[in-house]
Amino acid sequence: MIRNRDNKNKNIIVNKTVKSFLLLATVLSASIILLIIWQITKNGLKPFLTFYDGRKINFFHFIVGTRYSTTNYQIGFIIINTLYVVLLAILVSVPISVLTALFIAKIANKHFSRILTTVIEVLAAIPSIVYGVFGAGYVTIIVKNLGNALGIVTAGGISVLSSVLVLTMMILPTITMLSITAFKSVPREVEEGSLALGASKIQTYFNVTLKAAVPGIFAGIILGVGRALGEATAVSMVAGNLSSGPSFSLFDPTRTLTSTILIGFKETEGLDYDIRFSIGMVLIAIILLVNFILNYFRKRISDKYEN
Amino acid sequence: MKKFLGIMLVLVVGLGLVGCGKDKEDAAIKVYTRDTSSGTRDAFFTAIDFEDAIKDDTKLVSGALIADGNGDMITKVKNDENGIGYISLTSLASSGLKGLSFNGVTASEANVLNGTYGLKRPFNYIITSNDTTDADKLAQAFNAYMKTKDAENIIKSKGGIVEANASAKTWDQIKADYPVTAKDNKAVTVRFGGSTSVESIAKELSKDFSKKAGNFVAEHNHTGSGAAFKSTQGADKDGDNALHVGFASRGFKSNEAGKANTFGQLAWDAVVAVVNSKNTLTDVTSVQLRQVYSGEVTTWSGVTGNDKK
Amino acid sequence: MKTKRIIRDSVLKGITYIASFISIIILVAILFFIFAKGSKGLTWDFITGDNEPKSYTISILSNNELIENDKYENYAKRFGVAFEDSVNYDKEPVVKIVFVDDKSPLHSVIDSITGEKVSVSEGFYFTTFIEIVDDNGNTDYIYAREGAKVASEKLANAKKIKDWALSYEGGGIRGSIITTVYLVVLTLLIGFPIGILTAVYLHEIAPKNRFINILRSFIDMLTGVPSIIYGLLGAALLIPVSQMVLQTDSIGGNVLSGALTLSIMILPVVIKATESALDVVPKDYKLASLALGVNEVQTTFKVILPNAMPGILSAALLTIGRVIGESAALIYAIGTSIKDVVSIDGKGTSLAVHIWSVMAGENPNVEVATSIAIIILALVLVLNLIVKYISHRLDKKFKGV
Repeated sequence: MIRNRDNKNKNIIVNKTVKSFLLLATVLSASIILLIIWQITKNGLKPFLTFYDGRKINFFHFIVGTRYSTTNYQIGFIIINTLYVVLLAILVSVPISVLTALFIAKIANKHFSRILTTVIEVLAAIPSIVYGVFGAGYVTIIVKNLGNALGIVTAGGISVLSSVLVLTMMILPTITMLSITAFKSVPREVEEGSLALGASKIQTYFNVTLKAAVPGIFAGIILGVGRALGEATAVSMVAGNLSSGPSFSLFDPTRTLTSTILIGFKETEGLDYDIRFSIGMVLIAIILLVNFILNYFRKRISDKYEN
Repeated sequence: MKKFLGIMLVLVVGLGLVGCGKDKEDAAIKVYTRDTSSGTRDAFFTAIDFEDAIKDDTKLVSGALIADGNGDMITKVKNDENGIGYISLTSLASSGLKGLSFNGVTASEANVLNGTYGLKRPFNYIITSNDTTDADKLAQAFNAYMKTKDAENIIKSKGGIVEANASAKTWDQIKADYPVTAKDNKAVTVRFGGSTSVESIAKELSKDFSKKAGNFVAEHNHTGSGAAFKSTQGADKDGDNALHVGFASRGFKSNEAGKANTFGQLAWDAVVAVVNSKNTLTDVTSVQLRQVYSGEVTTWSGVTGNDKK
Repeated sequence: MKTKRIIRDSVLKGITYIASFISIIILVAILFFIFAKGSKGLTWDFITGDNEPKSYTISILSNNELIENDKYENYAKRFGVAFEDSVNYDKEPVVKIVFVDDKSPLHSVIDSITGEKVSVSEGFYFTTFIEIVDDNGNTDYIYAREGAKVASEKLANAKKIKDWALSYEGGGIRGSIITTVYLVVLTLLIGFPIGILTAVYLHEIAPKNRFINILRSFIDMLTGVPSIIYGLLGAALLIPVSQMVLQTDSIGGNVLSGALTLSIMILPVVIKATESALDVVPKDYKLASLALGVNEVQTTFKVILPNAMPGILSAALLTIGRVIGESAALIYAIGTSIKDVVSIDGKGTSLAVHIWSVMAGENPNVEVATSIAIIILALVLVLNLIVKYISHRLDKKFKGV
């Protein structure tokens, strides 16, 4: 009798200890995001609040300006470049992704469908550094030759176009996979209804299924945009480090927020180092803002289609 | 939604084409420069009487692109037929670029030594003022090594212009004064850095000296001449950017006064204005360079006497 | 009327075919490029060799007889050696030895500094100079930057080579392979368990209250953070932490700070994968176990987790794949110095960072980058295949096919 009670007590203690241990792990995991915010803002705000050898950075000029160098830290044009490149990548990849997803989900036969899905999954698994090597070693050459054929001189292919192409390749799998899911979850009845009304299969797919899958596709686009905004290595290898002015021409070199953080990283202390944290802060802010705006649109579209 | 996307697409393509179109008409000069911590930049702008621009990017023409180092400058001008930049003479031969003569004088070793080539600057080095670790002592030994014939041979083989010094000793003759080099230093890391123009010479020197000084590990992190004094005896000397040996491709300034016997000049070097090998230009004057870099002259046809493209 | 519709339908169908084709073209292009450029360099020496070339210093007398050989250009008869202009692994121009005749004195020399025997052969190169003494006793120097032809011509006058620094090989990735292995092991030891324990807690044990919901949303927020931000965190926080833990005064990052950063990065992946794995285990198992009187903790660890093992294994493989492929975060969290001798408190590059290191410098080396890319791709794809296989088996097991 007594032994049983001892065992029971021991059990309860062990139970409680393990549970607290697990809770500890969870709290640790949850605190990571706080650590990130704290550290980035701690170093990131320094340039604007303290003096380095008599220099302090003006936040307004930082955000709005058009030249970036060690004497003039201004990332206004870099923000525009980043958004521009991502926008172009979305414009190119969304049609391709959605059409591919439609093909895989509805039009292709099972065999083909499986092969293509594997192709997409392999593309999704390729690490960004490999895309970067492909970009720097091949895409830039193609862009350079294209430029020469058009009579335009490029900086060896390092350009907006190369960055857009590389980003497109990287977010294609993401948007495609989510679109496939979206298409597959359109209720059969909706399609059957359209077919019963005399529409052809293709008409159904494009007019009915596609419309019904829009919320899901949009979710894929949001994910793709997030990935494109945050992509660092691959973009740094094809974008260049232009020090001024937003670059809109497809064949001009450019510079994105992430490539600015990554390239030219030499000093481990001082203004040049801390300013990268400031850029990191701006990057996070922009990702959050874009996510917020896109999610707002997604809700509106969802509501529209709920009816 | 579709309409919105369509309009965006048209706008974007339009902008892209508009941006592209202009390059065909006028051959605008693409100006490349180094960043403000570069000794090469310092030497270049001093020699063309454009000292304002040494530390201040805003004095430069607005489209000027910044190259990250000597090698980056080479890559950029090599890829840009309309580009102009400036590099160290030591890297000219292997760069694939065309070096311009300056005020009528060709950049060459002879013309530097006889003083007729105007764009010359010293390559200097400086060691740490610390004296505690083995790495510090190896830096001191390196200081002595730099004055030997062994170092001179290496510097010359990499294109550094050295005035002949008949009294230089060999390392074997002086190594007994530096017992730290007789130890096994495989676990010691000596950090080198500073100018990127001196980087390839510095790497050969550290490789050779390492063989003669117990095979220490040489770590190179070249970020520009500005780091030479700062990281060895200046503000960064004990921080995360500290170096044991720093190289500079310019003279030390008055606020970079190193302790006695901790620095020296390893060679002379010429700065050469370079253009793409397809460019027909062969000579440039200091006035023309100043005009190009300040933005007064923006097209190749404006560089007098030579009609490019 | 009908034909118009048929044409329009075919066109629409056609563009979906084209769109899908584009994805195939991209994949084929990437694989083809990587293999075409990289397979040549993927030799045993490359994989197991040091990144630093071996360095020798020799001095030797010329042969008494001339060694004739007509087959090579830039051939120096007095020493029986032929040169060629080439580049080293750093893509810098060097003068390389392409042939050493059997009768050449270079075949067995003594290194003047270490005293060890050296046999100079094809593949050796020099980057600085050869100090020679000519027949009149004068000293002269042959500079590497003058090229192979000049080198062979000047050697014709040399009675003796007084001082010659030669290098051999280099550019190997053994150090980076070892660094990658260290990182994988450390991340699996540090971050992986924390992720599993967190997922177990949230899925099995956590009460449903606001506090837990807040924790969950904090963890969810991690999925959208770009890897470069983790890199910044690693540099700012984890490098000092690792320096404290290791009691080292080395400057900058080390393998441990890299592993810590990666551990943090993989947490969302591991938590999500583990929760999925736990989802798959039928609820009945848990209810039955509890009904039998087993307490919560025991149920979790002895009943549920073992059944979720395949899924947890998948999570581990996904983690490994992520570690191998990660670049941006490690560039900041460790640095980009390639090392041949790797230790936890030292620097090093993972395979992905090694690629960055050779591509980001002044002379990007696409051949080396693609060779390493082959290795990374092969590993990542194999890991993903295994994960797919596991989830396929899991599906069969629990959905009762």
